[in-house]
Amino acid sequence: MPVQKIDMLIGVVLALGLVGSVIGTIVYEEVPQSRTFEVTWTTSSEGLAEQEDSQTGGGETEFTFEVERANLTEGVVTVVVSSSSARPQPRTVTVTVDAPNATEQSESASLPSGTSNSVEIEVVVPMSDVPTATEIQAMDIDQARTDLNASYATANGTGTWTVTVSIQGEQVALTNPMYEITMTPTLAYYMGDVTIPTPDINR
Amino acid sequence: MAEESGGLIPPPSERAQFGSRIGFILAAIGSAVGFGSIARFPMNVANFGGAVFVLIYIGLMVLIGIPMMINEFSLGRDAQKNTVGVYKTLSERENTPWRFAGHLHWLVAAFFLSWYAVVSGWTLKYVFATASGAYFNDPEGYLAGTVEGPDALIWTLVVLVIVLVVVINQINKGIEKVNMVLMPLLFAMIIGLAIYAATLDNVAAGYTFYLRPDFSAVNLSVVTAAVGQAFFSLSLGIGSMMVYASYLSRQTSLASNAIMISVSTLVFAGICGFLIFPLLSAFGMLESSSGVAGLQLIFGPLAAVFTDMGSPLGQIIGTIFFLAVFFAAFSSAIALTEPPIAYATEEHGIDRRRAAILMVGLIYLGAIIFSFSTDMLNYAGGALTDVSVLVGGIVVALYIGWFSPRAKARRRMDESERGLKLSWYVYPLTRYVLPVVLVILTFFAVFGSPCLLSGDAPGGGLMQQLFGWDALACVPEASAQSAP
Repeated sequence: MPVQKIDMLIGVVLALGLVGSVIGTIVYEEVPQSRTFEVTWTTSSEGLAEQEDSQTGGGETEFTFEVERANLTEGVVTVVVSSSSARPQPRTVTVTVDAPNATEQSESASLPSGTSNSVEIEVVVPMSDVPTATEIQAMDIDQARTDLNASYATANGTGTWTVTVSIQGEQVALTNPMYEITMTPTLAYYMGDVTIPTPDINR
Repeated sequence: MAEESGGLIPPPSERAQFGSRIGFILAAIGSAVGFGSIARFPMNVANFGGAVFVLIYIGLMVLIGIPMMINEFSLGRDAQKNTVGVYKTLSERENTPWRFAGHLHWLVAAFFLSWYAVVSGWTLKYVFATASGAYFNDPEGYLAGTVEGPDALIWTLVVLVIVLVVVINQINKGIEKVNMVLMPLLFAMIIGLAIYAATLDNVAAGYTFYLRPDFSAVNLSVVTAAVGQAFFSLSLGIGSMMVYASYLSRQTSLASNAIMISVSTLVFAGICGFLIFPLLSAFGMLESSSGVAGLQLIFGPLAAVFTDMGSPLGQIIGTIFFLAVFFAAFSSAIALTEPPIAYATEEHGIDRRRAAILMVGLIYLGAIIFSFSTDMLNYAGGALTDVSVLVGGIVVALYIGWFSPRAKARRRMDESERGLKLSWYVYPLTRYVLPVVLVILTFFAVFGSPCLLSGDAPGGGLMQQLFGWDALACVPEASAQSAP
């Protein structure tokens, strides 16, 4: 192939490279284009402050706590009722949890008769499922993060939770037994993050 | 059937040759080691049964990788020509239809480099970014700004200019000299980093995760993953090995060289595991990184490890790591330029300097597209490249096994003054086994496979990437081993 022809060909290729680079940059910068971001979901949990109360002879005790965290998958309320007083009859302990935007849940257990007994009751309040989205379209990673939060955030469970502990049973004792009650809430939640997809290279 | 009738053709007197056997071996190792060796092979080992996977991989390397390498070497070394010239010379016909196979090889190499240069550009940028701690505050945000856009284009251009500076010289003065320096340096860096990683706390879980033999993890997916790794990790099917061997003297044993190159590649990839898993373990990222491989592992969890190390330790260790990754990528990149440059010089009579500028320029035109679109890059670097490379391998196997006279094919493989002669083993494999295995791999690459070949999504094949058609379901238990 003649040298002049080759040089011309090289010139055309380099010119195309230059023009292509400039056009590509202008189009990329000026024309909004969305791209695909991969979405990953992780779950975590945190415990809130334990609360204590006591009552004599049975009845209802109410606890409340505030939840600020969003994206809850479930709340778990653990109540321990213990008593060192003598109880001639077993008592039924019922824990009812009322959370914002969730169905009221309750669990019961029996506190045996006798002395030095305790019962632990765990009430699980299902909230929201972890989203299943695996990708999101956005202009850049900041927008992807913002859109992800906007699209998949849920406020279910955010607000005031009320936990009612009810101790019921036939009262035949001369002295009313004392009950120590502790309540510990734990919240499970999901978090979403976006990553730029990178090719999976074999070589 | 056998259209070839030529014997051993003397090399053109002006054609350069490798100056030494070690120069050829190091250049071939440089071509073979890349992102896959650093971050895919170790993760495959960890996810597919630990030492059991290594044994299966070695078996398949003996069965597939080394024979295929000997095949490519034998064609190039005998013809002493570029990929198109190989088929013309050995067929003794200018217009042989096999010349299209030669065109396929150099075109695939050029296409491959057009996206590989972009990814190499990311790596080079990360050398400097790690040294300055530029991404330590927001690794994901920094990566997003790296992988596409004007920035990606500039770093791609930088890589291609450096490639051009090397390949503009004859093979013995450019590629050979550079690899003589780069490869020992690369091995030293990886070994040094692995030793450093061993000194960290909480690394035992990393070693256990990497090498724990797990026979229960062995299934069809593991075997297929090992087959893919054995083929793809040796830079086969793209003409690089064929053209490199065309610069090789007839005195050296092809089988001995192929074994040495394959073993060195395996050792290199194995050492990378002793670097990666202790690092991930020491920084509590072993579990979250399970199943993440290749570039995703390098720019994701490993970059995060250096961020967690903080300054200045993370900057120093991370810079050495990314420099090693860049060296591995760069040595592969310069190998990918040789098939197109050799084609231009020998088939069109263009001098090497102009041929190098022209071909690297054309490759840059393709790279512009991939610099501005990660979606396009994903398509190109995924199943599309796999299919192209596999078809290249099938063509070589068919040509040698079915369209070359048996005696000549075997003589090409064995010709040497001393060293191993393995044609008694390689030829029957090439004729009866390799085409079948490669066709199966191609089927998986097109229609999807059990989570392995290279589709970036489970079950991802070319059809899924292009049309969203997921023909074969992924086998989820393929990556069942979880981090301790």
